[in-house]
Amino acid sequence: MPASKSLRVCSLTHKLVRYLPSVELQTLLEQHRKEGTVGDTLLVLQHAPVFTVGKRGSAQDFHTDPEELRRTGFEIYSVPRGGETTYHGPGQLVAYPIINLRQLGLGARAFVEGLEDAMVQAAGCFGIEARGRVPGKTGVWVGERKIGAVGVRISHGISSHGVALNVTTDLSHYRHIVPCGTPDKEVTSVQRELQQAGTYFEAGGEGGDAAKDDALLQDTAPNLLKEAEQHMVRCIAGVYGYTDVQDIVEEQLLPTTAR
Amino acid sequence: MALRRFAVQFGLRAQAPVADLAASWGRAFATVLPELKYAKSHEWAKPQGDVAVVGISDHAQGELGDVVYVELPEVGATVTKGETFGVVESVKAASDVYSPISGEVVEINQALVDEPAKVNSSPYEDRWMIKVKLSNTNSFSLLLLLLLLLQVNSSPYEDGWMIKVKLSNSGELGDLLDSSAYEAHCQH
Repeated sequence: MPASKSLRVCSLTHKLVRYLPSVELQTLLEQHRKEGTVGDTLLVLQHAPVFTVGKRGSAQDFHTDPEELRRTGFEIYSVPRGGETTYHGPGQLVAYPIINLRQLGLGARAFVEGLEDAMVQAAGCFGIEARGRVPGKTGVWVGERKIGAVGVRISHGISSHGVALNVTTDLSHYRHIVPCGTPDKEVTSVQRELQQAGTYFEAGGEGGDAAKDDALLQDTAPNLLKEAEQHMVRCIAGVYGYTDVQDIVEEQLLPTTAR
Repeated sequence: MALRRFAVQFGLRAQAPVADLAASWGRAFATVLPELKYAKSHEWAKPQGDVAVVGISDHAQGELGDVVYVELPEVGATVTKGETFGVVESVKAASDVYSPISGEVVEINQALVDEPAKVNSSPYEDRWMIKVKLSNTNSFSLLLLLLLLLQVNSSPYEDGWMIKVKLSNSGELGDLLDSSAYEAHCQH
């Protein structure tokens, strides 16, 4: 009988989280997890618009001058995670598992494959056929279009940073960068895939009114994100065999003495 | 891991069970060299006089996946047992590597930084990371005897290191796992 495995899930998707505070939070959680004062934790959130540059990223990844991007309201940060440069922003579901991989007996590859599997399954819940585990192309793909990105850090056996699934993300922001070091690949989102498949809207049958569709899109976008969140959390918990998933609020993330 | 690469190359990856079998085969037969000392975090140390050569094990490179980036310390830097001395990236995961012993870095394996895939390609051969200078050599003579008894062919190792460290406390070598204890640890 497998031992019970518990995952705390903290949803912060109701607001836009600025990047730096999220890194600080992860650092604290990572430290506490290492010391054993908190259990495995999954943060789920949306970021305010930001470009992040991983260990292998560089200024070369930017098509638009970073200073100009900052002037127009994007933040840009270098981060100690794997991968190159990517975009995070509203409509994109970000999940940061701060979990003890040594305790789970997972090496880096197995952990990342699990994250990709979870995103593939979550996309599958929308009827989208995605794939991960593509040699040399970490991430989750629908055909040749990238729908989910991965960039993690493993320190003392504890994971941080994680994944980003485009749900209703404004994909135009990706034009400012070479996303994840793949200059010739498109990015996509759950919303875009559903639109292109023509399955996004109820078969009202009458061919559709573009303006009405857009209005409906705006109305349903938050629901789409919420739905994606539910799928992602369930799929992440599932791939790593968590038997017990506990929803917690922000105030419960850190031990009381730390606050 | 050679079998896994074979599977990948010939598109067998799409047939998950076959690729998984190949990967499992590779992992089941991960090389553990008897003449090295091992840390539970999968780094190895090989004494060479008052210097220890450090790298990551075959088991470690298999668990990481294809390495695309290696970050090593500067020569002259101090490394401490159990603390991070560098970073290795694979599959978009940046993983810390930990020094099994303490001391001063006297040499780094630039070939790994230039060609990160060498971390995967040859067990121990080109995979040393750092050389660390030992500060006292009490444990050394016993290890030297062991090495001579085992008639180590040193050349496959010589190329497989990450850093060379001048040891500040060679007693730390005694805290590390020998090859059979390390093999048992990997079976967990």
